[in-house]
Amino acid sequence: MTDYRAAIRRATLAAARLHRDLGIEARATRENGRIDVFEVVARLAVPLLFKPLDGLLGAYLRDPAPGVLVTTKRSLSVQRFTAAHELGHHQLGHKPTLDDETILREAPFAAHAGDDLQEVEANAFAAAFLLPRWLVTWHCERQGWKTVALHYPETVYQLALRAGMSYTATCWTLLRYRIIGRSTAQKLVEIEPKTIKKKLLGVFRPQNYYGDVWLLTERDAGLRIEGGPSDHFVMCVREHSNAGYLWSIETLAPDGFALIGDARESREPEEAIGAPVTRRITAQSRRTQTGEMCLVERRPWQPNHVLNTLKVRYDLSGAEGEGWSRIERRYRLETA
Amino acid sequence: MSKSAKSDLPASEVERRRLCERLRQAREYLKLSQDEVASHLGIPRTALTNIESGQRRIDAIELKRLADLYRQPVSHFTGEEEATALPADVTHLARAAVKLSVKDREELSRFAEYLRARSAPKKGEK
Repeated sequence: MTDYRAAIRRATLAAARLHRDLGIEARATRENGRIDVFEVVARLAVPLLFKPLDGLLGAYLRDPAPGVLVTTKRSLSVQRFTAAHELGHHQLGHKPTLDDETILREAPFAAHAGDDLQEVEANAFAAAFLLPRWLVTWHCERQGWKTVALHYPETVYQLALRAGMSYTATCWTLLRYRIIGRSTAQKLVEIEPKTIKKKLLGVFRPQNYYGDVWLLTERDAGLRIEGGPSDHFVMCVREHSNAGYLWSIETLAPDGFALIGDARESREPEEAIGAPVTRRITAQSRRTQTGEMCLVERRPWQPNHVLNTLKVRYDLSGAEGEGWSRIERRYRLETA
Repeated sequence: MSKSAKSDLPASEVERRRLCERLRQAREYLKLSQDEVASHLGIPRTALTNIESGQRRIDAIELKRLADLYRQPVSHFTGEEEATALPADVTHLARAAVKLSVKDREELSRFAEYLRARSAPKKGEK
């Protein structure tokens, strides 16, 4: 098992070195708390292409030149994890590999006799690269989550969405950092993201649960969401209706969103009279591209006096399509 | 009949057609549209359509810029080289991967070919 531990340490150090060399921490914590692995691969001038692959998630080739291939047939978070895994192979000087579904399973995160150490290293690299400990801390501080909050699937799921990792990979990474224990991690991964999404959407039943459900609060103001076309948004905000202030939902439709739920709940039932209530607004994008969503809290009779604003920018393009990544495409086509 | 018609073409014409065909294939492999590439070059889309179909001659500067955009050396489009098989180590991997579909194998071969063409000349590599 010492080989296994050494492999994890080596991979984690390699990820940290790359973060340092490319100034990734400063950038991720200045922006939306998410590490753009495709951009990093492009900056390292390693060719990365997306192609429809049936049985493979990705591949790392080295001869005659290094290159990374990633499937178009999976979600953005799986594509990101695969690209980070292949980047790990590259940074750690590994042999070329073809990677299938097994890289997403628990196995590489736990020590098993006969594990391929090259795969253990690449997976440890991917996790440490996409969700380093400092990024977990950054999100927790921003969201006001105490460590104990990460024992709950709802919180881990929202962390995963913001960091652009799958829910399961996030659970195992939290275990790796000893933020949660093994039995908690085990319990968390047994809960399907679908169950968490259902709970967030309440009575609303979407056609399917492929999309994600973002729980947005005042703490997300200014966030840039990177999601998919079938994602839902639950805005959970305090409403000072006792003083006549109401969150206006009139801006949703012009911003390209359909309202699918609107409810008020008081946090402490016994103090219901006069206490602020929680407004819960559920919406879905009717466009699949980029934009901005803005909700304002104001008195209906004083439209120009705004008490609070919740503004988020979004990119709901979802999974990368064939060819270059969107960021590389933009970069190459713009530089004449 | 068609065979003899083909061999009747002057060598320069054969090369020119191969160039056009390779330019089109390179663009399609990267999933770039004619619109995107034409606006990158600053030419009308119809001009690019004509270049790819061989109805308009491409000048050296345009060829250089297209090669740069596609991340391939100019010689990939003008040269004699033909597609080669998978590199030995990838062939070995492909054999070991039991479930590898025919399509995935093809994608791997094409990607390896793309990488090989990229790495061919030392000059112009980033």
